[in-house]
Amino acid sequence: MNNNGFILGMSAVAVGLLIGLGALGAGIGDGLVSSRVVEGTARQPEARASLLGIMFIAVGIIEALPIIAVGIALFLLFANPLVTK
Amino acid sequence: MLAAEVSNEPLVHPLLGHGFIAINVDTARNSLIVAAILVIVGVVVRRQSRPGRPGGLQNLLEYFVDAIRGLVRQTLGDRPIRILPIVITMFAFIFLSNLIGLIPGFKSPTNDVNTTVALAFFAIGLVHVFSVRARGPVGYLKHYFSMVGNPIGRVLLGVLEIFQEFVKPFTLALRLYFNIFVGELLLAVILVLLGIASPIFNGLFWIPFSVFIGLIQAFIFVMLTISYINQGTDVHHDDAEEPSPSAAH
Repeated sequence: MNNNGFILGMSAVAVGLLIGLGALGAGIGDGLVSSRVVEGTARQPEARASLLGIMFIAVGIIEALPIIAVGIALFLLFANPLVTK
Repeated sequence: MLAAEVSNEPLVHPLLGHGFIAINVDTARNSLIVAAILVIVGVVVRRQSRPGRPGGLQNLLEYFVDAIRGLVRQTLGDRPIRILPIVITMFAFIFLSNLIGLIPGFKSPTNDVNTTVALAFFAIGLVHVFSVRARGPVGYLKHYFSMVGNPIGRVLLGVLEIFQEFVKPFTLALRLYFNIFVGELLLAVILVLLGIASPIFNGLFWIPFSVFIGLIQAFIFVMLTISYINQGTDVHHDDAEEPSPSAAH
């Protein structure tokens, strides 16, 4: 007997949680970084270029975490390793 | 959308051999193509190079080299660590690997977890080699246990530090791998979702965004490698932390 249906259903719930919570955390992180960059640019407009460079690197590092979550979610969706053939 | 409609091309790598020694054929082929492109571009640009009056491609390459050289100088200061050539090579390989997956029919070598783990192990191995060279073998082992004054805290923090050394290569590898993998898989998903309109969306938005992500991720990989090397060879920092009677100045 296999319970592939149950596994697929739970995987769908897991995919929703992975993408949603990942996006939530990364959104908060991106917001914090961007707000500080806006503050810094307002205070010191001549530092805009270097601040933007640092911001892209920081945002890239932050965005890696939800991307990893989305990657695992897509694995569950398209190539579920738990389902028995 | 049915999951079965999406092409699983980005997921599956054709294998040669079995088990642990299996070779991912497409990854090996595309890595060789990327390496060949890099060598050819290098040779051609070197032959055409005009000092003081750079042409188009030479200008572009000099911009990248200058940016990475500036990063190395800024991070490592005047420490005698010759890392620039290897770091530029890593950047060029990763960037071109990220780009080649956007051409139909090709897959990024970095869309394979084996490639990124190998690159990350190489980078972290470099960190340890330079660390041993800068501190000496005994100083290298000692610096893990020199964070705080309290002996119990030293052992606990030392264990955490060593654990962190094992985690570093995996975060480095997974960050690069999943960024590129998700980018390519979403190309296939968009193809199914939008059908006939997908070339417009892909061409106008997703592929330029993927080029940007590829550049940023290559740069982040290299930047993190450099800053790990900076941490690993920061001998002055150790001296400041360790209270020794001879260093009273």
